[in-house]
Amino acid sequence: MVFVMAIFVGLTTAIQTSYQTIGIVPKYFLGITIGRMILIEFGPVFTAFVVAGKSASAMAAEIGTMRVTEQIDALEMMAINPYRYLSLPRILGTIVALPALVVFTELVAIITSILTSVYLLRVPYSDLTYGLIHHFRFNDLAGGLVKAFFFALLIAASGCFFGFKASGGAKGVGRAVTNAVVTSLILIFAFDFINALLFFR
Amino acid sequence: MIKVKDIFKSFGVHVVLSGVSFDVADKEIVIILGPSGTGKTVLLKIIAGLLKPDSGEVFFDGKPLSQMTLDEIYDLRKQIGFVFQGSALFDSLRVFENIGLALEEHTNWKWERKRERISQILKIIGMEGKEKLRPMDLSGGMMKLVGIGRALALDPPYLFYDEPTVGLDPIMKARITELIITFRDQYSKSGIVVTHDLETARFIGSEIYMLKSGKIEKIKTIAKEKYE
Repeated sequence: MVFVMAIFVGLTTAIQTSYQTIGIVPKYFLGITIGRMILIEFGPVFTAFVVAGKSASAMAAEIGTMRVTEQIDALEMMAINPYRYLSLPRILGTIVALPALVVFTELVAIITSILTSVYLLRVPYSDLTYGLIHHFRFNDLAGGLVKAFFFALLIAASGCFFGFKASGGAKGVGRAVTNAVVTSLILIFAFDFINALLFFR
Repeated sequence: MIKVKDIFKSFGVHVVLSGVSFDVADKEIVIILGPSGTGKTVLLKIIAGLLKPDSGEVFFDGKPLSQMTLDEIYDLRKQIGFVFQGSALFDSLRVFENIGLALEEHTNWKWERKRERISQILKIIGMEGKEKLRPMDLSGGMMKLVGIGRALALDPPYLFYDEPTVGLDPIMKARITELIITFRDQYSKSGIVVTHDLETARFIGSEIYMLKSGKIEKIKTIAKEKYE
């Protein structure tokens, strides 16, 4: 799913960047813009969207079902802290998986952008790679990964929180899933804004 | 010994429990009878500390539940096996993992010892050979048996049963009734059984209470009747 999304991100980024910059700035700017947009914004944010849709919903559904079928009460009665037992592995798993997925997305999206720019938009390969390589800043990659770390926290916390709060049978679980996904998307937008305000002005 | 004193509980304007008091002596089983929706499960969950009462207190061996720290409550829960109405088995775990989870979390036993304990429990509940099945592969009665097995894992002195025989065929009902009697007589387990099954209740409990309209009333103290 992330692979397909990354291909479309790469395609669209190349075409849009070319449309908005060709003829206005030198062609190597295309490489700079594609690289920075994907590393700073598109990679972390779009991957977080996919993971929010897939994982936050799954977490809310699993934990919510456990709540309404008394499985969480059963954990409590076995003297097992359900928050530690159910949330911690999910949060840690998301924190590890999302940054790794972001790197994968960025790689696929950048390769797709290069191929699109060179073979579809006829931008010279040397111009493109000059912009990409010579203006690459490690802080852009690191900043994107730091964002991914916090997005992962927000996604997993949201999925677990609404799962634990579920009540009222199947309808309640459905509501928990919707709330988990919508809330994590809003939190991703909000955190992205705060991050941009603090570190990219 | 468990002492339940003057428990009140409401959900919004709906009063569920209104001054419920009773005692559970050691090695005795108390039955709470009552029609569906009268608050039997709510009462059981309050006694287990899963729900908080609006007022009133539950004492375990003289110690009030409301004044226990979370660690103390968790220590207490290792002394209580809880059999849920819908079994509440963990979907993702196999039968032996469901039974062994508490051992995994609370003991430092080696795998052989845990396996021995799980096998012993499977034998008691008559589920040998089914240890690798998942809850979705089990019938309602089998799920209930595994739920009982899971409650036994840490060999707790107290067993709480929430409608242990509801929705079961007569044969499975008799099997579970026999098990509860075995735990009472051979393993000296104290406990509380909430049920609306009068027939089963008279064989299991030494004291029978009726919960109705939020009030509780002792309806019978009985000698242990022979169950056949």
